[in-house]
Amino acid sequence: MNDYVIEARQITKKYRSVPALNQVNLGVQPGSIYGLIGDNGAGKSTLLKLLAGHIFPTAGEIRLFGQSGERELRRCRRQMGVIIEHPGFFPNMTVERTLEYYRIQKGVPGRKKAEQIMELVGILEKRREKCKCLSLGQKQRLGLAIALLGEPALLVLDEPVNGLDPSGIVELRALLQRLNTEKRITILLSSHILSELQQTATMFGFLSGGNLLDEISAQELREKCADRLDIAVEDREKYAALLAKHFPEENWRVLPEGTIQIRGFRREPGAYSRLAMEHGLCILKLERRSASLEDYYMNLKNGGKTSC
Amino acid sequence: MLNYIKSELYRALHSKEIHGTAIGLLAIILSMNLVLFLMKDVEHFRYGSASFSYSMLVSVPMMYCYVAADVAVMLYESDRRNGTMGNSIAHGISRMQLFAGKCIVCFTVSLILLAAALPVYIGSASLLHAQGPTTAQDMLLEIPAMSLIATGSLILAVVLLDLFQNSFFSVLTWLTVMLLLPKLLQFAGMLLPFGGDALTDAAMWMPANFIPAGTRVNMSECVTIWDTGAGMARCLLSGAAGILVFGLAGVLLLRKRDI
Repeated sequence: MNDYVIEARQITKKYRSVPALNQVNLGVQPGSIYGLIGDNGAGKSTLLKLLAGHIFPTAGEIRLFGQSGERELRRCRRQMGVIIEHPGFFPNMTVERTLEYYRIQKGVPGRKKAEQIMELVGILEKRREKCKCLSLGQKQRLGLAIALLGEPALLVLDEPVNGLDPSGIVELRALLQRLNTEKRITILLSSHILSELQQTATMFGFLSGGNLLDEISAQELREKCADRLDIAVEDREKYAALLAKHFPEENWRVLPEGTIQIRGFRREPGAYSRLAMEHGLCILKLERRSASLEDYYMNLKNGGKTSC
Repeated sequence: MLNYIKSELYRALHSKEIHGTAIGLLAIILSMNLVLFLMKDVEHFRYGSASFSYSMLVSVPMMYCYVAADVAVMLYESDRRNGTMGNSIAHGISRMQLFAGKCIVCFTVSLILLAAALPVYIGSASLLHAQGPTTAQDMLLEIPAMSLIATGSLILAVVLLDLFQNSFFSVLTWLTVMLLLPKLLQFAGMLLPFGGDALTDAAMWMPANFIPAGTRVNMSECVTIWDTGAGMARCLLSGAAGILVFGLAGVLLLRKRDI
């Protein structure tokens, strides 16, 4: 348990009497990209704020790099880069002065460092612009630049693709993956864009109503969200019996609307339609579907537990 | 904390608001003394003297508190709203270090503004007639007398700006605590049948009450509270008490505050 970069133990946070997080246990392993998923009000930002020290937990314990206690957490936070809700900066300061300000504050040696970071995140040409004049995407880049100053070992990013254009999203994804693989930076990020998270994260945590519903690795997700085949036939009882008799190894179930769903099917789809036709059954629908993180999340939210 | 103070000083010294305040202060001083200088030889114009110029500041010692609080407002009114305070906390700086750092930065910036304004004030006033009761010495003695009181008021401003997101409400509360509350306590002391004297005595240790009571500055006399040792001690003790009370309030209110 001690090799987690971030560990939340039984974390509860209440705003007055309203619980925002309820006994959440979460662990982020070093070198991973952890995607935090949840609707608005699920408790994502609250959890990230707790990690950043913006708010204090009502109960429970937070450990960063294996350390707990207020003083130790503060020391550990020096190895963290953070963007929560929106990047923080002074609207009337220029981009380069903002980075110089944070360079001094973080005690990063070398005036060239700010320039290198600006180049890395793609805002070098905006260096003399005031922060308030930047577009939403540029502000996100500036926030990332601030977070990256001081070469953090951990990045905590709340909705980092918010406001980025499509090419910006691709660039950010590539940047985060590069930082993760080349510099072994552990990343915890939340996003509403689940398809984006699916391409980036190696581990997922699902929050809903202040509760952590599930934690799953990308590998487990791939296994759980295997391809599936939805088949609608005239006589589903008869077809179900045929499936049980002829393809006993298949994992199938009848969905509430009457469609038969075969998960992780082992034959080419034509085999299933042929089985129906050979026994005089008419196929009404045969659809191959790939499950996604979205399906998994929605299923989880609606009470399902282990599969998409 | 040292890095935080350095970064804040970097910001303050590059801030247009602080530059504007410095230029504004110098412009007010220079233009006032320039007008007095141009008018000094006009017949029946009694105000073309250095004494009158100095009396403008000597008669309103609370000006030091206003400027110090103004510096705090300029630097920190949007600290929470902008997310910059959150960034600093996320970088591992404690709330108490932030609080202390802000107070030190505001104090330093106020001192820089004073250091810039004072030579200009005395230099430009020296061009005026050297007559009248108020001298440069009165003004120079006002600085140590008001230094702790102004520092206390600055600390109060930092506490209130951190406490409330709304800077207007912070300023209103600051004015209430600094100006209205002392008067209310004084009146309450006068009205209360029992224990009123103690309340009045306590109220008379507040700068908004004892400074005007002990200061008379006009064209014919210059009596300031810091003229006497006891008066100066009262100013310093009152300021030290303010620093202690408002500093303690800051520690208690901000130490565990969610942002």
